[in-house]
Amino acid sequence: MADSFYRALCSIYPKERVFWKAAEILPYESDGLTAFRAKPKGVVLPLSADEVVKTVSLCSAENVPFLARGSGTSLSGGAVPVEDGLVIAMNRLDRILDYVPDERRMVVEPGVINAKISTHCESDGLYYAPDPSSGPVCTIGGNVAFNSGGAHCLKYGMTSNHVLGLKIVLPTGEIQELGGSSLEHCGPDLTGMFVGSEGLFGIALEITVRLLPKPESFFTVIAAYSSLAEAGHAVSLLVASGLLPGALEIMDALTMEAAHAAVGAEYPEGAAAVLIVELEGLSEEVEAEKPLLLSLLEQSGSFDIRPAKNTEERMTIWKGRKSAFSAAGRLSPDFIVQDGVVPRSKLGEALEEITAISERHGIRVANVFHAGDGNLHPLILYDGRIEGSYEKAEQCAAEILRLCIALGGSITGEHGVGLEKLSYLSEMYGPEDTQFMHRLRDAVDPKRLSNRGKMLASSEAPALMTPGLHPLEKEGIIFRN
Amino acid sequence: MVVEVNTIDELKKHVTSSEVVRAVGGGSKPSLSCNPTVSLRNLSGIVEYRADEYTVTALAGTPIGQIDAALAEKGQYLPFDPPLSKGGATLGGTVASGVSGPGRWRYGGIRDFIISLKMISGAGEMLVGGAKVVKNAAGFDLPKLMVGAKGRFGIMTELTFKVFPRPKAMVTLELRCGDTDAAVNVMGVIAMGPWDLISLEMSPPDSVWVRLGGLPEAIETKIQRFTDALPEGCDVQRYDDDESIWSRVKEFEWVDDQWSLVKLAITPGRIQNFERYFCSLGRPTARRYGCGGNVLYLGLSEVADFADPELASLPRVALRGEVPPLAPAISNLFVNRLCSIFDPQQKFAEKSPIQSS
Repeated sequence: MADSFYRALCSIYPKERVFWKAAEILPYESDGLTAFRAKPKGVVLPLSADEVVKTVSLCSAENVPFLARGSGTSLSGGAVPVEDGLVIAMNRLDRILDYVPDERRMVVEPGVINAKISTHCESDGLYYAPDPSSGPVCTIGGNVAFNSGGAHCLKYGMTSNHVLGLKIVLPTGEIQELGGSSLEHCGPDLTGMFVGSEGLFGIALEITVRLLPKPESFFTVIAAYSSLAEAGHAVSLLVASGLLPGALEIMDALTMEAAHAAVGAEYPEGAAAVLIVELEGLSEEVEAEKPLLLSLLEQSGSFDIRPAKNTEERMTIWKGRKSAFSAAGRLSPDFIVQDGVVPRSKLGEALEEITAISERHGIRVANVFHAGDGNLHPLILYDGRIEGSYEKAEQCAAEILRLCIALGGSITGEHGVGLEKLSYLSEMYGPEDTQFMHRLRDAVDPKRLSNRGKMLASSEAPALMTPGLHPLEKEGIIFRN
Repeated sequence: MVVEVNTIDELKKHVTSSEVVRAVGGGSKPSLSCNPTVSLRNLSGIVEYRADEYTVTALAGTPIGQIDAALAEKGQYLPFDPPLSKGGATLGGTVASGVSGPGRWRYGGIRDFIISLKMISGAGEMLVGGAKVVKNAAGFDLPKLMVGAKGRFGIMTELTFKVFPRPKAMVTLELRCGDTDAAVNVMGVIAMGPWDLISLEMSPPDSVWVRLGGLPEAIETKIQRFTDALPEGCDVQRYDDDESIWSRVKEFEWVDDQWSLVKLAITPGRIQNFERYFCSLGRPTARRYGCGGNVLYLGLSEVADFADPELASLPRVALRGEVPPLAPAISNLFVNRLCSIFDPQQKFAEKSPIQSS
C-alpha cells in the first residue's frame, strides 16, 4: 500500500519533492508545541495549487489522512502530522498573485509569510493588520487555518476579519471559491466559516486579504505597577474612559526578566507588572488623546510612566513584548504556553487564581497577555528532563483552562484548539454543540482525512504525547544552552 | 398564517412541527421575509449589556433602535451601523440579511462585530456558537456563517456583539467633484489616506460624502488638514449637525419607497463602468456606493435583468421589491454539505438557490 501510494505521489511530484526517508521527515514530526509529535508516512512539497489538489484527491481516493503545513509555528499542536498520514508542506506556494493598492487588497498563496504581506505594500502606506508574534516566520495559510490574532485584536479583529475571499480545496478534492474581492458579502459568510476551522474543512489555495492604511502616528507608553492586579485595574480604567488603544498588553516580572535576558529590553526597576499601551491614528487625534491617557495612567497608580520618545524606543518595547515566548526558554528548558480568554473585567480575578494554581503545583508561571481583549498567555515553565514534570505542568494548564471557561471566557483566543486543548472544547461548548461540530466536519470530510485529530477529539490515530526532549534534540541535531 | 412566538420553546416547537419555516422580525426588508411562518417580534429584549466588556447580548427580535439607545447612554455604539432602525429592523434580521450601514467603513461590518449566538437548527437543536468575549478561536465560527445567510442554516434566537466607544464629535463633508470620474478618483485617494474616516460614500453623479469623528479638541485641525489634502476642484460643503444626513442614508429614504432595493457587493474599480451603464438605461434608478465603493445600493423603478454582464454576474440580495433574476446559480458544495447537517429536511430552503459569494 505504502509503495503504491508513494508511486502515485511520484506521478505528481519529481522524487526530490517527495520525502520518504526517516531523516527527511524528522523535521516535520512536530510544531511549535514540542510536547507532541507524530511520524507521518511522508512529506510532499508542492509548487502549485494544482499539485495540492491532485495530492488531496489522491489522499481521498487512497484513504490517506493529510495535513497542510506552513512554517510549523502552531502553539496548539495544530501542525503536528497525522500519524502515518501525509504532510503537504505549503511553504513553496509563496507567491503574491495579485496586489491592488487602490482597492487595498492582495491575493496571496498560503505559503506567504505573514510579515511579507506588510513589507510588500509598505511603500504604498498600507499594511496587513493581524500580527501574531510569529509574524516574521509564520505563513498566512496557517494563520487562516487557526484564525491567528496578535496584539491589535480588540480594535482590528483577528485573521478572519481581514480575509475577504478564499479559493480552497475540500478534503474530497473539489475546488471551491468562498467570498470574493469586496469588503461586503451577499450570501452566507463562508470565508468566515472556513477561517479558524483548523484544516478540517480542507486547504486554502489562494487567500484574498484586505489591507489597511498605516496609522500615521503612534504613541506607545510603558507604565509600571507594583502588582499585577493594579495593572489589570488600569486596563479597566482605560477602557471605561472611551479611549480605544490599538494595543493594551501586560507583562509580569518573570516575563520581563526573560525579555531582558533575551533581547536586552529594559523595564522599570521593581515593577511587578508593566502595562504597554499604544495609541495610534491621525497625529491630531493621538496628540489629543495623549494627555487623557497619561492622566489615566497616573490615576491608576503607576509608579513609573515611560512614553517611547521615538520610533526606535517604540520598536524596542515591541521587540521585548514579542520575544516573550521564545525568551521563556531563558527561564526554563520547557514551557507550555496557553491563550485562554477571560472577560476583561475578570482579568484581576483570573490572575490571582493563576498565581494560586501556580503555587499549589509548585510550578512557575510567567504571565504576558493581550489585556485589551482579556487574552491570557500563561507560560507554564517545566523541565521535560525531570520525570513527571510535564504531567504536573499539564495539570496546571488544565486548571487554568477550566478557570477561563468558568469565568465565561474561551479556551483559546488565537492559537486554536489543535491537539493541546482537544479535551476542553466540549467543556466549553458542551457535548451537544461539540457533537454538532463533529457532524459538520463529517459532512464536509466524510472520511475524516484533513488534519484528522485536531480541534475535534476522535478515536483515530491520536498523535503521540511525548514530553521530554525535542525529536531533534534526541537525534543530536539541536542542543540546549 | 404567521405564528407569533413568545418563548424560545415555542419557536423550537414551531420549527420541529413545520415543514417550511420562514422567520420575520420587523419586516423592514420585505424581500427577505416574504411569506413568513413565524414572527420573532416578541422574542425581544437586551439580555446583558456589559459596557466595560464592550459586549451586548440581546434576543434576535430586539429592535435595532432599542440597542442603539441603550448603547448611546454609555457613549457606545454598534460600529457596523445597522440600517433601517426606523423601519423596525431587528438584530436577527440585520444579521440574516447581512446589511451594514455607512459607519461600516471605519471598523468593519456585521461579520467583524458578531461574536456569539444561540440558534435553532432545522432539526430543532439548540446550538451555541462563538463566545461572549471579544477574542475567541475555539470551534467553528457559526456566528459568521449566519451573516447574510438569510436564515438558510437556522433561526437565530440570541446574539452577542462587540461594541465600541462612539466618537465624541462628528462632522460630515460633502465633496462635489464635478463629474463621476473625478468623484471615483477622489474617493480612491481618500481611501488610501490615514484619515480614519467613519464613513466614505459616493452618491452619483459627483458627490463624495465623508464623516470624520474623534475627540472634539482635535476635529477642527483634522478637517483642515483633510480638506487641504484634497485634490483640486473639490467643492466642500460642511455639515456640523449631520445625524439627519446619515439617518436618511441608513433608512434608504433616498430611494422611492415603491421601488425595488437591491444590495450588490462590488469593488471600487467597477463604479465608472456601472455608472455608464445605468446612465444609458433610459429608465430611472437610484444609486449610492457605500463602504468606499465596496457596496452598491440600487433602487430600481422597474425590475428587469441587467444587460451589463459584469453587473449581472455580481452577488446581490434584494431588500425590497422583486429581485432581478439572479445570476446563474453557483452550486456551492461547501454550503450544501453544511446545510445537510443544519437543515436536513430543507425547512429553511429558498425557492431559488442561495447565491454564495
